[in-house]
Amino acid sequence: MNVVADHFGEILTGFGRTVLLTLVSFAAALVLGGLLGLCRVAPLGVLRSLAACYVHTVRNLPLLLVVVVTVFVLPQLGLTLSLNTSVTVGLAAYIASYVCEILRSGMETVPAGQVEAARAVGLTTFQCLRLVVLPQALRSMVQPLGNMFIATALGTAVGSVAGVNELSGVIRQLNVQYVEPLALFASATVLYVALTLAGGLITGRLERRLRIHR
Amino acid sequence: MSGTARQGAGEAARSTEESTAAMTQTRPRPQPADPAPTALDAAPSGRNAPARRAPRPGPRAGRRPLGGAAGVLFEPPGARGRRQRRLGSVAAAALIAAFAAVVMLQLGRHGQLDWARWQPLTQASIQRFLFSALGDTLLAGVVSIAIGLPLGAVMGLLRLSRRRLVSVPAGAVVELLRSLPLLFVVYFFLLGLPSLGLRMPPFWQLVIPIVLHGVGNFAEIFRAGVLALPRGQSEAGYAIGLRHGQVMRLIVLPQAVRALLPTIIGQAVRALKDTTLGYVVSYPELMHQGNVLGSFLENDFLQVYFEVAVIFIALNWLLSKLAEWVETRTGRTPRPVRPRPNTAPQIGVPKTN
Amino acid sequence: MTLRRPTVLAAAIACAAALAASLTACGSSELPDKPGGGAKSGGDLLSRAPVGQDLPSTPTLERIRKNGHLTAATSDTDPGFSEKNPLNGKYQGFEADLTAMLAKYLLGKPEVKHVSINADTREALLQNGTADAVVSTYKITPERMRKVAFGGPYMNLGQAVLVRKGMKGIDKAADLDGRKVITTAGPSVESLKKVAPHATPVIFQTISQCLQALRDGRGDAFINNQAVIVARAQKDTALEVLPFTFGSASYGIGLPKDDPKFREIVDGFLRTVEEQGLWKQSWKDNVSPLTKQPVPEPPKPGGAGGDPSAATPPASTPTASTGS
Repeated sequence: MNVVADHFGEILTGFGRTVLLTLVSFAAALVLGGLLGLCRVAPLGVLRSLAACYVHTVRNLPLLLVVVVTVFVLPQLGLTLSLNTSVTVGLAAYIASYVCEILRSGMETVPAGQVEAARAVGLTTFQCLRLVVLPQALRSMVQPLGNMFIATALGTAVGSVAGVNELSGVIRQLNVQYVEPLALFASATVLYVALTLAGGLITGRLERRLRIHR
Repeated sequence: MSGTARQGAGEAARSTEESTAAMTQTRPRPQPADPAPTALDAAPSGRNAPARRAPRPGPRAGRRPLGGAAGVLFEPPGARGRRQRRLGSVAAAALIAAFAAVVMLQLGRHGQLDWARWQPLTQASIQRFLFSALGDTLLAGVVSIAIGLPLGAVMGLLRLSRRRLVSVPAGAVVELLRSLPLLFVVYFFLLGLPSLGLRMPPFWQLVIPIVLHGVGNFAEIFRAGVLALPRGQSEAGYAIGLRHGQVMRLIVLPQAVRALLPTIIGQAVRALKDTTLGYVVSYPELMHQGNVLGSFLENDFLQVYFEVAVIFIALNWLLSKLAEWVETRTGRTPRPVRPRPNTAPQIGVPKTN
Repeated sequence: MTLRRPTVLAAAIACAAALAASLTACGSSELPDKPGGGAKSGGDLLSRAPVGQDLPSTPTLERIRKNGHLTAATSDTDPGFSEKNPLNGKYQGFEADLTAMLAKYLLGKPEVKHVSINADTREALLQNGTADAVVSTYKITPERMRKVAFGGPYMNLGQAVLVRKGMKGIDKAADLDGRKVITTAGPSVESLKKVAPHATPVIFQTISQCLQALRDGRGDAFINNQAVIVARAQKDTALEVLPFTFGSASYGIGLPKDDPKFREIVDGFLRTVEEQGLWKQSWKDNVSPLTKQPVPEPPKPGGAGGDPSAATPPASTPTASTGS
């Protein structure tokens, strides 16, 4: 446990990076996944198949591969982002494929009658989406999105093989130097569980707040 | 062009609550709001034709375009609407094509498309190397699923047991298995267990954590599937004098498994992807061997990753095809009995692989 | 979730066809032989390698004999030292030669089962008995000696620095301080931390990835052992090697801690191959072509021992015996 105490600052810095990476990636995944989800239900077949192709491609790949390819392919396209940003992009692209499907199935849980009622009172398609469908869809999406948050948090660990010194990277470097695997990995587990637990708690509260009592 | 969105959608995880809500709406099945058959929404194969739909009232049987609100969000277009959509489609396609062209151009400018970089991949010895790694990935994946699936079914049923002495501990185990990060379970098997005097080869150090993780997920899938089955099914079983075990074995499980096939396949895809954690325990799976090959070829590693990606996509695509084949073999379109959204693996927690 | 549309089906079939085509259109031209490919020397070297006589019985040796092969934890991706050749599935390089000769010394035949490693898990593989020996640029440090024993040292190796051409301001190792330094996990990071504690290590999985990252400007410099750096610099005119080395350290064969007699056997093996000139032969075949430098004198084995205090001196001498 000495190593953990001596290098607590470093470990916390790494944890901070993990948290930041998680939050930014998850937010980006929500935006990208949201756009894809809209494409998935769009009236244009081209957009629907684009989104479907994206989902089926990215979701069938291991996260490690997605992230490594993002880090090394983007510069080849003339886009050299910082490593942090590249890993964020890779992680977000991966999670977005799941978010897209959550959004789509969330919208499918809203009965069709809702849309027809909205249309009957004269709402436009986008008003209907914004005021009627999405608010209701959101309810059934909170739990799976919470799962996705946890997945993002755990997924940040692949950053350590792409040059980002987040929690698991710090832990592994300390382990190479001091050879105290059990203490180091135990402390990392505690921090990861803390992060995912926080995600779970927020999800639970959100769900309670959004719940409608019938 | 419109098949995927329509048909893939039919498998959306839908909570039973919502299905019941849909059930209470006694509207004629070919809904008035359903998009008129246009070029975009041409009726697919005969399997989905209205004539084959189940006659009983209830949630829509078979696959349909998009369920619920998603399917009727956009009004069926009139003549001008159709023209606009066609125009939009062309514009979108042009944009996508332009984007793809820019990507290819940039790759070409950086020399990534040079034949010299791809040529090594055409060598038989290199393909043999990658495909033997694929074999190792498959072996680990298949064994994980083969052990995890039945164990998961048992755990799911135990959790459903009417004896609290059984169901509570089973539930606790399942929840624990589901919440541990897989990467750390693998590290525990590598670093922790040997200090307790337990040794095993890398294969099992990788497979057992995947199995444990899978058991948790499979258990939840089964439980959700069993719960989602109409109560009348098991009640009918009890009515003709079957015992609890018989009802489960003869009535509930066969139906649940058939309905759950897509989610089970989703979980199998995850197990396959999880094997990429094999690098931790020195197991020579595909991704790790891709790294070895990329390192050996020095500057052509992106090309190697491309092939690894293609193999993974093809493999998982084949898996979903297999699921469809099994579905048709069982002779019935799947009933719309789905697990609750929060336990469906296609929207569940992918691991850090 | 399944894919059912014809276009995707067609795409998948096209992919499968391409794959099949690539499988059949094979062997048109073989890859050029890599420098330091131990393949050509391996056989000859192995036939001359000694077989240990009258080895005392130890638990590890008994296990190796029972298995019929030496289980060695080695790297797959360390050019010049231990690299798996996907063309024939064989391991090649200086450390690969040493491993095969060690197996022959112990068993009478060069039967090796390779377990690939990453830097996190070397001690664990030894402690849990997965591996009998770790032969993988394994730096002898006091921290490790609490967990494992070291045979050797069998080589001293310094770290070199590769930068993009035109990079200014790095004249000595300490100038790396405060900079982003690309490297693989392992000995390079440890050396870097000693000379430049405020440098930010940017770690990738393989040397190929590191080089691409350097070209993409992911860091100011790439450090690794001299052999790798010099060899790669020759292949890319946009990169240059800086004219200094640092962090020269002793590398040993990692062995189970609880078997001191086995460590003596390994030391005896190293002494024998050095006396018979096999050490120099393998270095000449594998490492010299990369570093373009003459073969150095091998270090005297037995210095590492099992005593933690003995490990520090070689690591603290900054100028390398292998330096230019």
